Amino acid sequence: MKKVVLAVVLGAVLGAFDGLTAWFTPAVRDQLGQIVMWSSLKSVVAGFLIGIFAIFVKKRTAITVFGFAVGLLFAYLVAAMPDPKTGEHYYLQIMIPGSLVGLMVGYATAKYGEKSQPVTAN
Amino acid sequence: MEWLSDKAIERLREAAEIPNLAGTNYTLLGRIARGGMGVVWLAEDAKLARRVALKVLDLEDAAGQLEERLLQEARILARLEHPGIVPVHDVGRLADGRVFYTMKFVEGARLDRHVAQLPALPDRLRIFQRICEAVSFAHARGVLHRDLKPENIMVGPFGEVLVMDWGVAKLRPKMERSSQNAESGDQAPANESLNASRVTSGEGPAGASGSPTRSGEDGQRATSHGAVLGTPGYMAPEQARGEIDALDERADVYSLGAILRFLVSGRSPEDATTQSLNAHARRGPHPAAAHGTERPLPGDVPKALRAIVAKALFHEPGGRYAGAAELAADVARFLDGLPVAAYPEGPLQKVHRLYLRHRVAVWLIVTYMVVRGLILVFLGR
Repeated sequence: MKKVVLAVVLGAVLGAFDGLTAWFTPAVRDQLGQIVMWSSLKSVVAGFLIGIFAIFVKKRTAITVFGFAVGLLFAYLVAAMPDPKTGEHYYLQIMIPGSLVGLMVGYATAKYGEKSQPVTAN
Repeated sequence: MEWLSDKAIERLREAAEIPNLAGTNYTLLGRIARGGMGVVWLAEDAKLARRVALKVLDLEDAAGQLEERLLQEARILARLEHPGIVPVHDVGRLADGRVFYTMKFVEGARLDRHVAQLPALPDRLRIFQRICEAVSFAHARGVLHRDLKPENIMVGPFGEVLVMDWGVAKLRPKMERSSQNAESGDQAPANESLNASRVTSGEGPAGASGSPTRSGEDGQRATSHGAVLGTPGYMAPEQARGEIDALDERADVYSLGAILRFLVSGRSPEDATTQSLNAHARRGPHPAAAHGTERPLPGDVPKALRAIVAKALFHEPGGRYAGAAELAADVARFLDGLPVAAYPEGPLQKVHRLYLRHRVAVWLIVTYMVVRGLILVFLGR
């Protein structure tokens, strides 16, 4: 359960941060709230799936790759929605950072979601 | 008159020391090693159909001191039931009256030879932790080893680590009083030859250095102050000075520090005879100089680990770790990338350690920032 909670929290934080970077693009600054919300939501859902996966799979590499794949998939789903003003799609701008966020959530869940090993000395 | 060749004499000597195991459960298979006061043989236990190591005296022992020492060694081993300490199986007497005991036959390699197969530092440190666990267990049972060194550590074929050769081990005084069978003091055997495992300061019987012998609680002759037991290069300065009564767990901690230094550097302490060691011990506050510890560790050894080694090898017992468990705990913290007690970190060192521990995560974040920045610059979002 710890892994799921960790992955969801990380997803929320990193997803929100990823959304906030849209502030540097003046053209979409007025949609910042919506961008942050969708970015956080997709990362929370992705984090939940990554956490569940990490419960059953112990290999760090596998969890990290899964995180990347899930992040990429959900970023695609968001990027598939056109800009309401211009009708454009921003696949690269959303999918590349989104996949990196998924990768980071996967890696962090695998590394920091493990139970700490007891010190062997008695 | 024909003189016997050296080879013939050697064969006669070997034949003379072969123990007669008639009347015991054991069948002799071969010789394993020669120790300070006896020879260790490989034997087959006929009842249990297993191989054992059989240790028997091979020195003159008119006063019975060596026999008592051998029995003491067996009793100490029997008291220490731990996976890291070689277990004793049996004690008996040969047909010629000599006492023997049998223990587990350990197949494997001595640590000083096995270490060549361990290039990775973490692997060596994990072995060291296991040694500390065994020694800590012994300390908790009131037993000091007093001769810890790589040659007395065996690493088995499945990675098991065993501390061997408890021949100069000592029971702490309060443990002796509570033990009905153990004698109160340790004994320096008479006419013991100078060798790497058993070293005495005197040129003759115990007490020949000028200090009188004293009686223990059971009327046994105890080691007089000034007699030295241990191995140059691994024994603590107070042990080298013959301060038998002052020895406690920290003397073994010093030896563990020397073993750690050996594992980290791959080098043994410089060869030192007891005489040069005692000369250094009398001369100055750093008798450790006689141990070769003035040679610096290799440059790539992390500072925290150097500090651990230095603390374990501190010349005054008060400056060392209090026990083997504390030393092992610091090594464990080092392996986990946590701050160690021996090394107070500055802010920069703390940041550096945290970076090393979370290197991948840091680089992922940096990669994300760079990619995000490039997207913003070139793709406009």
